[in-house]
Amino acid sequence: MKHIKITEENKRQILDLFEKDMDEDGFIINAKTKKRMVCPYSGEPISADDFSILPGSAVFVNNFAFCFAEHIARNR
Amino acid sequence: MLIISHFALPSILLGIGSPMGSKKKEENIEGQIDTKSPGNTQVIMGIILISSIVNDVLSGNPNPEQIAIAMDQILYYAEALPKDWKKKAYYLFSRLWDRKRVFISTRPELGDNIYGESFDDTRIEKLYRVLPQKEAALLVLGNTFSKMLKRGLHHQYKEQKEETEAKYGSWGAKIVNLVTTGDIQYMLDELGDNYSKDTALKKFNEWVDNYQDISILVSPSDFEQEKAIRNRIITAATNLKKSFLLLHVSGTYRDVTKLVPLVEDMERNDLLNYSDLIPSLSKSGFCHSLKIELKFD
Repeated sequence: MKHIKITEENKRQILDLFEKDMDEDGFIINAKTKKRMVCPYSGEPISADDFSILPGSAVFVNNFAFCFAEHIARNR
Repeated sequence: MLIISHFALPSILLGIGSPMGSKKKEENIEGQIDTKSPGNTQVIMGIILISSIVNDVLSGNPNPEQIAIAMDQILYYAEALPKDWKKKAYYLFSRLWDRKRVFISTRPELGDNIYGESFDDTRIEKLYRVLPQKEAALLVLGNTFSKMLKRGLHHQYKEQKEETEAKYGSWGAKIVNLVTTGDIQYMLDELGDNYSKDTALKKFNEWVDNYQDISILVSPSDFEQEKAIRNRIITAATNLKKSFLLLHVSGTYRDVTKLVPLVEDMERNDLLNYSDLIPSLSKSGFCHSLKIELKFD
């Protein structure tokens, strides 16, 4: 497994590609519905300053080790 | 001009692709775009380039690194595209993304730690395959934390363990400790080689439920209250769940060597009545870990 690092330079591009946006508080939202994304593993909204997109159906998660671990276990 | 100057870069970087292949892709893509509209030349070049990158990479058997490089290139070139055309870029990007070999992160070192650590122990790997999602995830975390400790990443370990405990409570902490201490080997010995999902989960739950009476984790600061350590050992020995009791302490060499005299002193004073004391010491960086197995007949 390799990674692409999200930087201030490519963040907008990445969000656009996944049809996401940021709200005024800096949380990631669905670009169409404008609803905040919620991490399926932590249950919390996702800050655009600290997040990951995991393989599969482009799962947006908070940067907690347990989010990665649950995603790996779910996709065993 | 910028796009044209970078046109040959992906093939050079990836070491694949051919001018003929690019020409064919150009024809395929061009058919979908109104080439007479002003400004579309740049769009066509961008899309052709991205399509070329994807087809070049997927025509072989790309490794994760090649896929990640190609995806990064798409992000770079797609930036020059008008918003509507970014959807087409996403389609091409998604062909690489669907390979499930790359993750995207503001803190990739976190994912690298977890994705990079497979189970070295085939027995733990086998158990991981049959446990429910949350239990399996905690085995993954325990395995990752074990490797972090061996590499001396104690600060990251502490931070992530606290996050894990906040999420899963003491139940999750016990499962992680079961792996990081190596105590899971005792459970696997009891489980044997042939087991069903139900048998594995039953044995696993039995160990997790009783873990505080099977294994005691002592922190160096606990030695300031030796009486409390003694009480924990006596309570566990009184409620003995196995024919053994495991004690663990991690810290400096000076810290960990306090535990054996304490236990021996308890035996001398008839507070403990074990038949054997088996210590084993390990070291990672400046951190020492001592495990004591007390056997009871």
